[in-house]
Amino acid sequence: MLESFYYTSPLFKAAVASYGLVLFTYLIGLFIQKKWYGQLSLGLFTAAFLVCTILVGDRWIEAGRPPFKSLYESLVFAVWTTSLVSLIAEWRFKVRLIGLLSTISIIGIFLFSLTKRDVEIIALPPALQTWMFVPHVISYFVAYGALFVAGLGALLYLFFPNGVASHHSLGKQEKIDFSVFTYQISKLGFLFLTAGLLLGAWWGQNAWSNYWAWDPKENWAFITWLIFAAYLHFRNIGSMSERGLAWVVIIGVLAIVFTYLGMDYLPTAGDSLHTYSSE
Amino acid sequence: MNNSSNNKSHNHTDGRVFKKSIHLISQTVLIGLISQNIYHWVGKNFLVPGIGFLAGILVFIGLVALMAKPLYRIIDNPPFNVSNLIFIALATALGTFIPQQTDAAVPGLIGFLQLNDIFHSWWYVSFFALMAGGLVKISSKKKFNLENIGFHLAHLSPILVLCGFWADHFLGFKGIIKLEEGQQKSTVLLYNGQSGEIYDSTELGFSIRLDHFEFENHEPDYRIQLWKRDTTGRAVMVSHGEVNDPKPSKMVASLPLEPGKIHRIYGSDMRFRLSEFYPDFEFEYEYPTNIDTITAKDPGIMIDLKTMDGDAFVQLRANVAGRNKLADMVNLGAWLEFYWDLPDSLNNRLSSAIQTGFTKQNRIIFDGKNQKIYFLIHGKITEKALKTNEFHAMSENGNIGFSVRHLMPDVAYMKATPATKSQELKNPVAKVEVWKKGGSAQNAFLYPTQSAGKGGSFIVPGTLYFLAMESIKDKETKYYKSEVSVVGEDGQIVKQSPIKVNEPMLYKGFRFYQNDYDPQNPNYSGIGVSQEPGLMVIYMGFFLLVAGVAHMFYVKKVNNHA
Ligand code: HEM
Repeated sequence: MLESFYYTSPLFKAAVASYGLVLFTYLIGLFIQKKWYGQLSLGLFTAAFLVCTILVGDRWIEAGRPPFKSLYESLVFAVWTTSLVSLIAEWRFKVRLIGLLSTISIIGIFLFSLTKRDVEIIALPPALQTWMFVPHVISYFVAYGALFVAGLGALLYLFFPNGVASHHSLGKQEKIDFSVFTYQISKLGFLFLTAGLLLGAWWGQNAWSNYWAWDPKENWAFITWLIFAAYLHFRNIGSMSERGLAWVVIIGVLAIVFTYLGMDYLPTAGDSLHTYSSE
Repeated sequence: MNNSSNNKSHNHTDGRVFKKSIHLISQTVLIGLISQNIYHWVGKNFLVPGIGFLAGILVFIGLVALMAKPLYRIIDNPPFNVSNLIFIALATALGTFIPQQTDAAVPGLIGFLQLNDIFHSWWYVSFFALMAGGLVKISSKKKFNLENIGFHLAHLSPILVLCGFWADHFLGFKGIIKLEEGQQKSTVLLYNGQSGEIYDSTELGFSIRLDHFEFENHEPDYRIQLWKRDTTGRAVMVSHGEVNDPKPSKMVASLPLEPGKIHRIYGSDMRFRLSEFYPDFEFEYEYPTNIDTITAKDPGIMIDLKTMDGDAFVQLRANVAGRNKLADMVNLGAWLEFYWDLPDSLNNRLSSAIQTGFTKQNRIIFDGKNQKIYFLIHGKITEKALKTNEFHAMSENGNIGFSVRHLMPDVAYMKATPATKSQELKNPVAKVEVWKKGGSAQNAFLYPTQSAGKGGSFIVPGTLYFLAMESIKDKETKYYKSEVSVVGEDGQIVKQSPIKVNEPMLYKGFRFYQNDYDPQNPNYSGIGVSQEPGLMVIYMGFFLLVAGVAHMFYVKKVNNHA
């Protein structure tokens, strides 16, 4: 992994370093509950997000195409959308614990991406040479980022069922209810998940003359969508406990991870059109 | 919002509803299963077209009607529908763990339960039928007003999608026309979308002609690549990154051609840099002009050949056994022989004007010391002065012949410098310098894997790394495209259009896609043909679903527990 890191671009190294710094600040922030400190961590997180934006943009220019082809590229983009949603969540709900958990996960994604690093930029196959590729992928990754952050909220709910006091600088001290937080972020995620699924079908029709081929990846995308649709309805029925709802979201996030990374482990993956090229 | 006692009784009733829902959904699924098996059985035993399907549907409707009342009462109940969503999720997951449609008819339990084709099984479709019913009822019960528009859109649009889906399934088809350039066909081979198996064919009523097909790979992009061998593996590297060694080498860095830029190899003192890139490599040879002053120690001659197969050059060495002759009958029609001192016997025979003692073989004999060329062609001897860069035609039209580039009393004085013939990427070679920190540099020439075998890679001394130069990009397809004509029944061309991936052609409700090509056969193109009457309904459903959900979430917020 160290060798892989050695050969990455200076921009990639800068991005990892910035997120490392953000993580460090959030960790210290567990002990400093001052207004200025909260602003500092959010500011640094924003700065790291900008470095990540440049990283994605630079790759886009260097490759001469949207940087979503390989697993490595998509992981970097997942960092970007997760950061984006975390920043919005932190700003909107004034909860710093989300920033902390997000940056831990982001560092994890970066480390994982090193093992999947594509040494050489690959060209786009004909099916991916279309504008439809871009909104589809962006929708999905915004959805994944949002639902991942919602999952972090669900996790926090399990630990703090009575909520925590917000120590965020930007607002007054108020209580954060993680159940509401999870619901609000899930809604955002579900909207983009729906859009991503349907844009994918539309594109599939154009590229392969098939909007739905019962391909494993498509099926798992559908399963993920069903789980979050069930979550929204469960919440509406009101019969399920808050703990139960948090678990449904966590299961939904696990389904996302499986859809994203687990397809190679399925016996039916052999003739899937939807596999990431890695290495 | 809910006080706790309220919540409890709620839980209690919901618990009963969930139980009842699961019962009813399971029963419906069972009915789906039974009906499909009846459909198959009747279809096989009574050879009347459509009778099996009819029987299956009738049984399905009949059995579901038996539980119509409880089903109708519960079908719009949220717990019923959430259970249904979960059932669908589980069944879909099952279909990704069991290989689907491995065989058309699988015997035994798997076949009976349709587990080899879950997604087209009646029991799987039953879930969606229940969902559609629920959606219709829930939507019809809610007031239609502007406030509820998001709810209605989100809950009615899935019905549109399902109807479109079913319309395509029952009224449309998917197929392929396999064409060679210049061919025209009106028959579409129908295939099963999932297994790819061709089971039938249909007539279009017009023909599709493949006027032209082309595909192109990406432009080459040569890069210096650093590979790391597995400690136990051999240095094996095949272009395209595919390595067929059990312990494959791994590419760790791929660097653009930036001459002068120094790269350090991870975990070692070794450095390297590209010193020169030659797009069309050749050696430039230089020899001193004053050859009279050079002792004839190891004489040689360098000859440029012009042949039907292109240009080439040979170097003959007078004193090296086996290297002083080129028995080239095919290209020049004569042997080439080089001597510095002509052997006496040969000299005597050449100097006598009449040819005696020679074979019928055409020969061209170079005499280095006297700087002469003897042509022994068709039994006649011609003598010429040996001058460099003078072309000697061997055919009437001058297409074949040779010229002497250098006459060398001693080949040791020959200087060869790497150079490029042109800026075209014809014979790319990279010269790299490799050195240990503080030590002196070593030159290496890298060139890509040739079709015949190994490329010129260079093992960095004392490390597990080796350097190579390859282009990966140009092995990937950039695009493929068919130019087709639609030919009417009267033979008239009614439409002409290119078809590319992502750019289908539409004609009379049919869609034509670039679906298949064969790198081995550049004249073949597979044109996918489909008729999908439900497509626009599906697209509409997609759009309305997203719009409805967005409206529900962000315009008129539905009640929630906040
Ligand atoms: C037959 C199945 C379904 C039934 C009976 C049903 C019923 C309901 C009901 C009663 C509500 C609460 C509405 C309100 O409080 O104003 C609701 C909300 C909702 N439904 Fe459905 N629904 C079904 C399927 C679906 C499907 C397939 C989707 C997919 C998009 C969906 C998406 C939603 C959404 C997004 C909400 C809002 C949830 C929230 O904001 O918490 N529903 N549904």
